[in-house]
Amino acid sequence: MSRPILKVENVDQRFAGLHALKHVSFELIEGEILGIIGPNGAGKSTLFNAIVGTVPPVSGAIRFKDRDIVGMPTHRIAALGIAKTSQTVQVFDEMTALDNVAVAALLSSKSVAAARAAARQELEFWGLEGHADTLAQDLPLAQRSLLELARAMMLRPQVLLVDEVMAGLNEVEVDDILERLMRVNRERGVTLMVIEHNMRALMKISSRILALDYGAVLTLGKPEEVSRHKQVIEAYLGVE
Amino acid sequence: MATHTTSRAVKPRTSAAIGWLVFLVAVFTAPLYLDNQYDLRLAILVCLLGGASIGWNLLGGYANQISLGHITFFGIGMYTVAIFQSSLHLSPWLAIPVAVILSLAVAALIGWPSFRLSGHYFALATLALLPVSELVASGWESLTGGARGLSVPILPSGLATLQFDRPEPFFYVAAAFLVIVLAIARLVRFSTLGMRLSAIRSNPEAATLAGVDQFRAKMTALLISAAIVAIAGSLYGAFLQYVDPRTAFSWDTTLNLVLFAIVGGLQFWWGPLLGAAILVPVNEYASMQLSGNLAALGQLAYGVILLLLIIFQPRGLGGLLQTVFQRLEGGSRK
Amino acid sequence: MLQLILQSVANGVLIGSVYGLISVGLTLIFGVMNIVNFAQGELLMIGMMAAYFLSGALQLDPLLIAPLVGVGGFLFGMLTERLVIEPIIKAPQSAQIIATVGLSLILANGVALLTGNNFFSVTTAYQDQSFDVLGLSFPASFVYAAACALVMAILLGLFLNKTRYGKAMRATSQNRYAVQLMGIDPRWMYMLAFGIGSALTMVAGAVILPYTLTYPYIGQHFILIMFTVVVLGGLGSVRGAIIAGLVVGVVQSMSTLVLPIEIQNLPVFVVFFFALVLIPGGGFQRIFRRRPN
Repeated sequence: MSRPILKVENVDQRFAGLHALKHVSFELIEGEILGIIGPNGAGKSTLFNAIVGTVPPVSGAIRFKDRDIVGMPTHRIAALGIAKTSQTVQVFDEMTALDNVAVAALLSSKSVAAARAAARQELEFWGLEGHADTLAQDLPLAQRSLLELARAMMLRPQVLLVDEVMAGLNEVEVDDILERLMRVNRERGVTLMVIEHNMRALMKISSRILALDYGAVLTLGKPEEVSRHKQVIEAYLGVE
Repeated sequence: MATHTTSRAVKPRTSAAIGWLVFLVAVFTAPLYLDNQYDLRLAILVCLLGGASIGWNLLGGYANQISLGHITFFGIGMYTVAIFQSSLHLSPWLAIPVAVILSLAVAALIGWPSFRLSGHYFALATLALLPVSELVASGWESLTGGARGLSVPILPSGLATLQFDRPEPFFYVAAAFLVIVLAIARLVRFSTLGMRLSAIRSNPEAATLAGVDQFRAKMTALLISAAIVAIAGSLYGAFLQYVDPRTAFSWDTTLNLVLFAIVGGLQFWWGPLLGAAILVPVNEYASMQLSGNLAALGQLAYGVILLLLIIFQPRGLGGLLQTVFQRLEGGSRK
Repeated sequence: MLQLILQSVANGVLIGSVYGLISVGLTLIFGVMNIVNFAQGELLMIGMMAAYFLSGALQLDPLLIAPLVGVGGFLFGMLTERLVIEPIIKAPQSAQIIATVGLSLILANGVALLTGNNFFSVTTAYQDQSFDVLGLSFPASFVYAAACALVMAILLGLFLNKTRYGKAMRATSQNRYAVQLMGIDPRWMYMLAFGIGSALTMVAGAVILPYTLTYPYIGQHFILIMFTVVVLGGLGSVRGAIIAGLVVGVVQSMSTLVLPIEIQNLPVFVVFFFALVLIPGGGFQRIFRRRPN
């Protein structure tokens, strides 16, 4: 099963004079974990925002299962099967962890009680069931990151966009999240796109890597090839 | 803040239920101990304005969308009843559905463009509604009596006309309205809509990413809210038996709705009622004591209270009470 | 007939330029601080009141008092920002809206207590004069007001484009974090923005006093105009506010040709409504590309 589940075709993005994405084109193969690397400002998060419609691109097409989703409202894209986490962890601070996830369950549940029941199960996958009644703002960073992932997964997506979820975590926590992401991919059949600065982690889990710089695609290929790619090394100038 | 954490011990639930039962009894036996016209009139105002504020809060407190023009629906209610009773000689009960439909139309018209934008636009748009409504009411003399307004003629006493010889029967109508509105507010609070609104309030961007259709949720809340306020206005019009543009679309009343909710606690479904119960009597007292130039003093005090509350105690009295109860119960929530 | 229309348009342009001046403060504050100041109408009123009393005390024309009012307004704005706005700058939007509404109450009623709820107006030497050009008649007070508005617009433009703080303000309205990268304390930016925004509106108040009267609650009266201008021009866009001001002025002026003067604002509201509906598309100016929060 190596058909593309997401096709990004010639996507351009501009912000008040800044050409943030330049004719970005690539295909996301179903079942893979695609790592995304690039220096700060390369357009990685911008790309994610374009895909889920938070900031739609100014031109180009994005086909999810052969359906162009550019211009579709974000909540519909979420319902359709693409979920995203944010660079700075975005949770519902004043709500409990359980309710944080239950909100996402509302799409498929008829009542608050049913949503909570479904949410509880999702929390278990992420090891958060003990924190179900804790307010999100009282959770430490690692748990908040997991919570955001849990909420995204509650949508039962087919594609999950993960944006720098390991920032600020220690090695143990990083390994924990890596493990869970791989489980999400293998056991729950979710295709992942993962933005990360942590190269060690990315090399470990990605089947392919997409390298961006100044909004343009540098290269796309297997991790070993990309890590030896001349321009990629230059772009990073020795960082990792 | 009282989010959807209801999975607590049984004791708080039953004590809350008992509390509400006591409240209901107190409300419906009120004419027994509030045995003078003046107090009953205050009670009626608390019910109607409190109910309207609860309606406002469905959008303002639950979802963080501040409507500064909600009184438009109140005024539509007042005018519809006045027109029905004076020009059309029809019962106010027929006027109420019409007022609701009109208000829903206006609400949809205002919400539709502004809900797709940030909350600022919504506040601005609703604010603009008031002067426009006043303009229309003053200008459309044939329908609304223009700037002089309309007086409802004295009609035979009874439920059909909502005119009575004594204020007690009207109080029961108002109290029934309040109880129904409370029930609706509580229902919405703990429903899927309520959860969506909480998410929108807490983090709009995350809500969208979580699949919440913000537009639909806000619009639903707005429509329910507008209907409630329209009915409150209708009843108020029937009570006052008079309407004119300034009374119907008064900036003061708008502020009242907002103030009740803030004082009582924006995030509590019963918050605005608490605020109304305290402030309506205070208002009346103040307006008796301060007249002419000193009326401005009362308004100034309003402004100061608003400011202080929002800076230092944004959760209002309700928040204060909640903290106190939590301490008493040895609560470990926060 | 044509002359009637042209006259109406001319009046509209003159008045509209002042509408722009009135509203540009509101939009500047929003652009830099992401706060809609619901007390901006009261700032206008204070400008008018200050001009009235100062011109009486100093026996000078309000137009000459305007710079003084501007400086005072600037200081007042900075003080207000420190006391009232700073505490709520990180609060949720609803809290900010409510806080500025509270502020508007305090200002309007504070002034009412000080001066009494009366109407105030000035008489000037030129109030019955007008310039007759090309068969059209331009009332002198309108012309002077518009001239002042033009001067202020130029000054504002210079400030925003040529000074360090001005450029920082423009940068902030595009990207809130840019300011910190430029090494400027955002709190100073906010005070400055609020101060300038207040000053501009207050100067506008001084400048329109010759042809309109004032009373403590007049702020509410101007709100519809201000908000229409700001929404039409795009919340945060200075250029948009100026252009939109002209548009609103002309619309209002021309509406008096067909409608009775009491409802001359109805078409303005229609414009407001359409502006609201049209915004999400490209909108009027760049401003809606930025994240609101």
